[in-house]
Amino acid sequence: MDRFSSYNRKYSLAGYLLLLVLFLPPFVLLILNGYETVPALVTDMAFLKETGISLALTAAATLASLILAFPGIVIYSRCGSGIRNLLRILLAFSFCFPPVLMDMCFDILFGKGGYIAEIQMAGFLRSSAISLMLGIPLLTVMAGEHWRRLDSRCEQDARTLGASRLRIFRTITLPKLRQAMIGASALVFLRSMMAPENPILSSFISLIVLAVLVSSEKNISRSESPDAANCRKRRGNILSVFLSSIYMIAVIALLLVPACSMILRSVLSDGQFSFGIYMSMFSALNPTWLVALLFSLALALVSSLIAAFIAVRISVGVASSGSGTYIAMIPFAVGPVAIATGLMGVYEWIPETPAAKMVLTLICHVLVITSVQTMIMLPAVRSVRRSFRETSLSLGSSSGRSFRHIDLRIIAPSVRTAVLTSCALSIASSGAAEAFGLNTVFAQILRLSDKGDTAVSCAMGSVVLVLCFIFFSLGIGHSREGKQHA
Amino acid sequence: MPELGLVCNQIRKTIGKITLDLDFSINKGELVSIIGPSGSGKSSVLRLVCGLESPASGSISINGKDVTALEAEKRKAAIVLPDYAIFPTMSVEQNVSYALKGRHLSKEETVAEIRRLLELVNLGRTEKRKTRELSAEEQYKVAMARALASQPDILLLDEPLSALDTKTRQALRNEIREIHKKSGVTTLFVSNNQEEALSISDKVIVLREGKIEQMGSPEDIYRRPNSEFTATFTGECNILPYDVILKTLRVPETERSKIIYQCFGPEHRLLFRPEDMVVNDMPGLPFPEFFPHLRFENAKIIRSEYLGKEYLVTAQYEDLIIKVYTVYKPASDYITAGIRMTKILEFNDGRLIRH
Repeated sequence: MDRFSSYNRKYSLAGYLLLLVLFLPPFVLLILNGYETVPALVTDMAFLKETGISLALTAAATLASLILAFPGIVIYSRCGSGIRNLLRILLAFSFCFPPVLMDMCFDILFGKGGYIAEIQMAGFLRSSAISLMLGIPLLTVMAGEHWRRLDSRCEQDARTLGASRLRIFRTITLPKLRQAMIGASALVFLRSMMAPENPILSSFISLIVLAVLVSSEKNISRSESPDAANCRKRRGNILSVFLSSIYMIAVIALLLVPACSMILRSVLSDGQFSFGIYMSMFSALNPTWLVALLFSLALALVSSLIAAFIAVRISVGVASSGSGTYIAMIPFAVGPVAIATGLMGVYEWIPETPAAKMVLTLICHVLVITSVQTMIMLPAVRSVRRSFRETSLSLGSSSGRSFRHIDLRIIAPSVRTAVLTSCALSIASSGAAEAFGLNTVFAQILRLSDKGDTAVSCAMGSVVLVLCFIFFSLGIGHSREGKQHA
Repeated sequence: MPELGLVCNQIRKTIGKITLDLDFSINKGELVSIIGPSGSGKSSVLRLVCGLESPASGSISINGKDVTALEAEKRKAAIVLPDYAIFPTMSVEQNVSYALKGRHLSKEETVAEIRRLLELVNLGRTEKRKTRELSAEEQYKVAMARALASQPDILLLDEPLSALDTKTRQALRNEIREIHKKSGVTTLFVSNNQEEALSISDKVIVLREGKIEQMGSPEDIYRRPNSEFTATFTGECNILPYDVILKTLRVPETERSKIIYQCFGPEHRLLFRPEDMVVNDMPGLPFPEFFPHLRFENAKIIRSEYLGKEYLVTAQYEDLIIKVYTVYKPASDYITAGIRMTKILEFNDGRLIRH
């Protein structure tokens, strides 16, 4: 084992330990409390049928997302950097779009008194539509980004040998893209699985899907070529440019419609535009709203920073040893609801105080976003050239100083991206806070929505969306800076 | 007796498929080049010296101090890697001052030292520039300044010019020599360009499959190679079987058998450089007589390569292939070339036995 591996192992140990210390108690309690129900459930035909249908629908929605996203993947991989960044912000924004808000948006659009209430959506159709809306952008960005980074020289060589475009795509490009598509599909499947019927069963399925995601992630990182990003052909004929523009506008419009419907509902009352709700929310010092908002923000920030502390260490360990991604991703696969259920078990063992509730909620947020942050940081950590640290050592710096002054500075933009993105995710996450009855902005939104005060809940939802968008856009900006450094 | 700058004493280390087996020393203040084919372990030698790899056995001493057990940061062996590893988050000034941290200089001294080092490498006033604005040449210079800033006992240059164009390489190899002269630091320079290594070094080490094939002055390496490998690796050469003497020897008849008897045995091979050959490419012109020599009369030209200042002509003489340099493009399809016996090296089983 060389010097760097030894240092990286020591450095990452704290991250792994902290993650396991936070994750294992709720997970063990989840299993202990829930395993008795499993035998009954697996013999319950109604439950099995329901779970089977749910899984089949999730798989079908994932497959449909893949098919529908394919034109977007092609466009994303070939467009210029300006359009690509715009697409990345708009498309990847859906990653932060809280499913609860998406559900509310569907209510506004298709529910009773909705804008397009004529279209009746059955429950399963609605959940599939939500999966599609959240899945297509994620697939487009993930697979498109990978395609963009694939070395195009083989394709160029094949063209000079007289192969047709279709044959090149079928025999060269598609095999290279397969891993990225499998990985992205696994991620979309996992996201769609996050509302479990039974936490143990869904966790079990998620962990299997996670193995696919982790294995494809390894292969993806091996096949990418950083120098190849600028080699791909960017021009197309007028028809393809026209069709791709129509497609992208349609996808973006489809993504923006729910958000716009929510904003519209908040400002349109009795056919009149009014910003009164927003004015009262911000100017009348509405304590409930402001406290909830500030609390959510604080929770998001603290959990993101703790997660960053763990994720940097785990990323360094994974990049150094080539293993450990699975451990880092387990909390994400198990999902916030299952973790919150496990933490409820922990809550029974400790004194019931508001501080305890807050700590447990924080743990739930930290666990889920640590996985996401690891996924964001890992490519940056892997891209740091070994020669930087080798040179630094030869100049008389210790391993620690070399790591702090060089590696950490290079990955700093990615760390900022991860923190900002996970802030957005944390604000958008509702599971744990709801389980422990904390006064987060989402608890407020759900409470008002249940009361039927749609306009105010939509206003709050719109503010949350805007906040998520700001965090995410800032995050994307930092990721660009990180790429320049790398 | 000159002080030793680096001693690698019976070093053994297996890295990948190559087993390094090194035993050599270089004097303090010398500039020594390591050349060898790809995968012969050139860069691994530098990594062993600066402590990025540890030897399985043997010892390494720098300036008389055994550093085998010392960690890389304590060896005072600064390395410049082929990609220069310019820290991307820092400016030129910060890159250089990074290496000054261990010297505990005041702020004013640091600024002055950075300026001195940048001037030493002919980089002028570039302190505030971002590293991503630098050309490959400037990056190389920053890497050199940074390496020298740590006041190393030994400077290790791992193919530092490989990323540069030919003209810049030629200019910078002279600069390396100048910087070495001014700084006086013992320097180990790995190069993939034999000409470059021969032109700037005090000594050259030829490495083959992890072992030192030959170590000596550039003239020795080129003119008196101890093996066929060194001879062919360091430049163009003709390697011919012994019986070529029987066919081509030009000498007064009375001395012919004596020379053949004295000079070579049937199991030997002959080696000579194309530039040592005398050429006559004008048909009808008499060939100069200088005895004793081998003459390849009316060899048929197979190929003629234009190298800028001369031509490298490959010609066939009976079943032998010979290479010669000519100033002008050969006027006909045939050429006559000769080589003095004194310029011929004699090898047995790949090893030099006589020259």
